[in-house]
Amino acid sequence: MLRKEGDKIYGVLNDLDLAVDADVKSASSKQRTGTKPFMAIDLLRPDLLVHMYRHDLESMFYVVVWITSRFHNGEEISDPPLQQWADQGDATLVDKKHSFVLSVPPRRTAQFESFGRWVVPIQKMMRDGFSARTEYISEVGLAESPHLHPFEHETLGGFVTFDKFQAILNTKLQ
Amino acid sequence: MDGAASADLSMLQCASYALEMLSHGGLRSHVISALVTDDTIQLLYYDRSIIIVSRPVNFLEDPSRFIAMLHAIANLTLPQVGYADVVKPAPLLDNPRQTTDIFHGLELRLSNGTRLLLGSTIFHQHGIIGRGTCVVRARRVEKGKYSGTDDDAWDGPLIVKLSWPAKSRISENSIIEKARNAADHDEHRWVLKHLPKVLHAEDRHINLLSQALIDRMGNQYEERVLRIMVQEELSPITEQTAAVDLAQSFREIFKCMYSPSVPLCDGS
Repeated sequence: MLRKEGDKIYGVLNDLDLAVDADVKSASSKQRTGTKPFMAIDLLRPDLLVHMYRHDLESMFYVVVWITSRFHNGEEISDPPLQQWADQGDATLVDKKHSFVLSVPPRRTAQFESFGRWVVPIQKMMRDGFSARTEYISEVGLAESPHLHPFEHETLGGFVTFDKFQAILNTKLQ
Repeated sequence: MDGAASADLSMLQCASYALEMLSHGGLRSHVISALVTDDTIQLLYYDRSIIIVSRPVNFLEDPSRFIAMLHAIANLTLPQVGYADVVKPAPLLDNPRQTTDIFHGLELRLSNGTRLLLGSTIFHQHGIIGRGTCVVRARRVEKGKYSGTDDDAWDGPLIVKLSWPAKSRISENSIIEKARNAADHDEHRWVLKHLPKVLHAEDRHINLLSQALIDRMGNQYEERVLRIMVQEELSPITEQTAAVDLAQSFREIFKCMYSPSVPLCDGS
């Protein structure tokens, strides 16, 4: 959201009703709720998983993609991409988002074309992280590899980190 | 179609009515309805945590129980029927086809005595189980005795967020307050500009179910409260129409999300 004070505009972090303290290690409700199109893939699964910082990075990525590919001049365009994110149930959405991570991202609207410089590298970061996890889980299943180092789930094997995300957001856009 | 499949379809149909009533039928804590199958009737109760179906009563074989049931239902007050009475008058579906802006023109009286006139609906969650969040525009029509000192903000356009979170769930206001307090130091003070300003927050305990029944359901039942929060109206981020400005707003929100004073959140 935005707060307008005189001619200044501030980005405002809103909807903190689902926030949890960063040191909470268990799910806070029997039902997991959130704004579906922007929920991280892991959090859409029925098995309750602890909320991690990287889930917020993933959510923010979806917000960036959503706004920059669906809005023009402050209005939603007709027949906007990703509509199925809003319309589908959790199980289908997990699949949709998995394939989204692997696909070419939707076209940005004319005003936001330059956001490709954020979207493409963040998507790559997510894709690399999910692939690393899949690879790890597959290898764990092999009898000949019992001594694998534990996988770092917090950062999807070091691929999805605050620093990398911030560096991408610092890329100047026109 | 066999009997069981037909009964499932009837239950599904009843649930779809409850869904509409909980989503668009006013500020509802619960809905009570009934399903008549041949010569039996079952009472159905839906709230935001559970659906309870009574045993069937055969109104031909047991008319006295049936009449007692009708009498009890006819005597329920509006809150017992499921209308949270903080909003007045309770919308009694004068126009059942109106599914948007259902609170327009109604009055909300806060615990501090402030009266708000509700306006258009910005968001209303569609669902039976869950918080059923509703976000409505409002303006103050009467100042409360204890409404604090932030008069300028109260005089401006307001937003009321009405939701039904689990009773055990920490309130959004406490989280924002904690973040604001933590940010109120020199090097973090910039965060204050990027956090919402809450003017008022309160919880109302509205529950028709007896404690004995709640205890009996144990872990299956999540008790909920009506949480009311009033804040200044903000503008949607989509009002930024230039890439450079939108990027700046995203950077600010990101920086705020990761400020040491702000808790982990769902980024929505």
